[in-house]
Amino acid sequence: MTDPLVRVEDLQKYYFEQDSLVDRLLGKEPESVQAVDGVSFDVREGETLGLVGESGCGKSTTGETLLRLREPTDGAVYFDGENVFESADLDEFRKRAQVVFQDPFSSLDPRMTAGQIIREPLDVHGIGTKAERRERVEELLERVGLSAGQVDRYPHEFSGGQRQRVGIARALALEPDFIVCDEPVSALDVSVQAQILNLLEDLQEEFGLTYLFIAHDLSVVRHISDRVAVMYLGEVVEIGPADEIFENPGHPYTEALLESVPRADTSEQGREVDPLAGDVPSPRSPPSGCRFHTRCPYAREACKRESPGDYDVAGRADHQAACFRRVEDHDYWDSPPLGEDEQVAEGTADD
Amino acid sequence: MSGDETSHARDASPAISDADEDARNLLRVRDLSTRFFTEEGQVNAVESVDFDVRDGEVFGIVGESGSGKSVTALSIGDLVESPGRVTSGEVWYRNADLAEEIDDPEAVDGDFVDVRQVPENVRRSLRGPSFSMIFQDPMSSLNPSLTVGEQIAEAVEVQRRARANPRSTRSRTQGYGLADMLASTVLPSRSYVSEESRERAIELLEQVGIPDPADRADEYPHQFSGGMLQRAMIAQALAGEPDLLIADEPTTALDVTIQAQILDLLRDLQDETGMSIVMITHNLGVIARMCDRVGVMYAGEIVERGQLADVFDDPVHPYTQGLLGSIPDLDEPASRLQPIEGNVPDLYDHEMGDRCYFADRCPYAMEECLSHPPEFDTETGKPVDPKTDPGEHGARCVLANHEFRPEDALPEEYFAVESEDSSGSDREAAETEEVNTDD
Repeated sequence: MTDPLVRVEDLQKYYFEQDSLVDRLLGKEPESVQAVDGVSFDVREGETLGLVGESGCGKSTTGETLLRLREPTDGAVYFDGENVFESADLDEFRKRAQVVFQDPFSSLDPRMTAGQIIREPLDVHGIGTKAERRERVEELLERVGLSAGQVDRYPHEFSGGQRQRVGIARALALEPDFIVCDEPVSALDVSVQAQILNLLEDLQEEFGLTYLFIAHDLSVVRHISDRVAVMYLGEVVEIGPADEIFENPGHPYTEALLESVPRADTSEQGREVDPLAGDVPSPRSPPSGCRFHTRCPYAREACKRESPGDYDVAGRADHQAACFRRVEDHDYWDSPPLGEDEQVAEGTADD
Repeated sequence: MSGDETSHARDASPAISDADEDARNLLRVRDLSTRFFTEEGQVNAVESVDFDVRDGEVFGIVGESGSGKSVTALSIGDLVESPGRVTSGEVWYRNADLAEEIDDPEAVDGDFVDVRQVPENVRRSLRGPSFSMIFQDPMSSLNPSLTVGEQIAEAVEVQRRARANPRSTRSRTQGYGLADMLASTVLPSRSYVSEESRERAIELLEQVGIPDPADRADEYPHQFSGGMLQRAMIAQALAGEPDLLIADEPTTALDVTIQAQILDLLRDLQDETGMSIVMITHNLGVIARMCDRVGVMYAGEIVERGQLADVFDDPVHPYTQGLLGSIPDLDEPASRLQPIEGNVPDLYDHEMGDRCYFADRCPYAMEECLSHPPEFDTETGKPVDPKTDPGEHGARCVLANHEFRPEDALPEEYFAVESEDSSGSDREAAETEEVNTDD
């Protein structure tokens, strides 16, 4: 197997609260929010890796940090073999790695025309002559399904879906290899969402793009991804091929997520769903051991003590889950189950 | 709309009000239209909508943003704010006691009362014990500077005082003047909210599944998580023990695992209280899980309605088909999605014309779609009047009447040309600008 295009190793991103000068003079300890805590994964060339999880699980922070849009606390990201966090000159990396943001309303400058927005990366990197840039912009507009005649329109003159197309055209301007799509369709209506998903697929095929596709909508992730990583409270709890994850989930959290999604089908009527109890604990003071143990229906004493490593699911080396239940001879099986009250008490104490 | 039409609808109603039908319906919405009068022009947010809500059922309204589903909900509760106005329509609500009290014969039909025709104070008194509403964003629907318990207790107190004199709005604050309010700052016993109401609030919080309700009642909204806040808002809506709960995107702001909890809760509460729910959402999965019957809205109209199975398994309107085809299937992913081309229209009156509103995005648009289609019964294929005889499964599309005729199909560019024109012939404009300004 060839080397992956992007390799993320033990990425950490903590945010600190009470970290101002005044706080320090008052002798307050800075409090850390562990948004991303030790995340590792590979993105192979030409594939789409889906990163899925609920709000606050750190999936967007992961995307932004690995592009070095935020400074990491610890860890390393290798892009084509080069450590992004240590390289002094990011120009080349910035050309090859781009991003499409969630909100097409706030990620486009309202005072720039679509043409200016798409041309900006070309201006910044000094690519081509004026005429070439103009030509390139028009070509991009048509490629993403807009007309070249819309080049002088302002963002407010476009609908949500069209704005997202402008955002995609901007990301494509520098002919990147890798695009982080951070919830690119979650602000859009379903009919328009399908248009954008199809566009992203077409572009991937045409330009051989590699995507990191961040989303909370499981059906979208399954549709577009080759492989999927599931995040919970700043950690990747399961990673593997999309079909494997969705048909044979190895982590109780993935199972619960799949169970919770209401299907748009008549069989959904009256389907018994046993929803996960409780809320996601605060990342300020994540639970000990396995972070999911406060909500996990299978939690036992061992889960509280020890945090699980990544174990192969069903003997497959490409599908791993961070759950003791995947290990046959683990202490877990001998330890007593956690009572529900115990779980709830711990879960709420963390609020 | 016109006076003729409304009186006609009323004349016709005894014909359909066989005891059966009436006993089953809790709410009959007829010809409801809401317009927004903005600087850019008149926006027809809701266009002559008719539907019924039956006792103890969950009626779903599904549509994309801008389809008018939320405005429909607000219009039922008469909560539309300027520059919007409910311009016509009737909202018949079944309440025998109320029907007896109302003198105006125009506003009464059997056990039904037209909420839009009764005096404002009566209408106000219905909010709470009759209709109640929960909204999408619990964070902005609760007051951040009052504790959650206080806000729910206040809702309880309002209902308790109102019950003493059900049809007067004054009774809610009667005996509680400015002096009391000032006194309450030093003497807790003089406060508006009584001790019983506080206790009831805690009971309600327990009913909606908030752990340690007595403690959580003293916390402020920011101390609650999104799911807990939505529960608190549901508790508040239940304070008046409503017959009808209107839930406007109740789970859209929530994560899937929390969404599953809230949907479960709504189901359980409905089983307990027997209330009817109008569930408004863009999420077809939520509709499928919760609803008995469903109406699909597009451009301010209900374009298809029927039992859940009719609409989901056997959709007739191309928009319904398109919606169902655009969502990726979680269990059996298709290789390619089938999106609906184009964008949701703006609903400006002057841009809508008299055609089928979906024709510009419809793969089956024909000549006859240039005139506005009536609603057809999908069984018989005959046009029906949803005001008098709403069939079980209806669609506002000529395809319910006959098959697609390729020879009548509109040329592909038909609407493209039109929309270029209506948006200021932008291609031309852009070209001339290009000549003038060289940036």
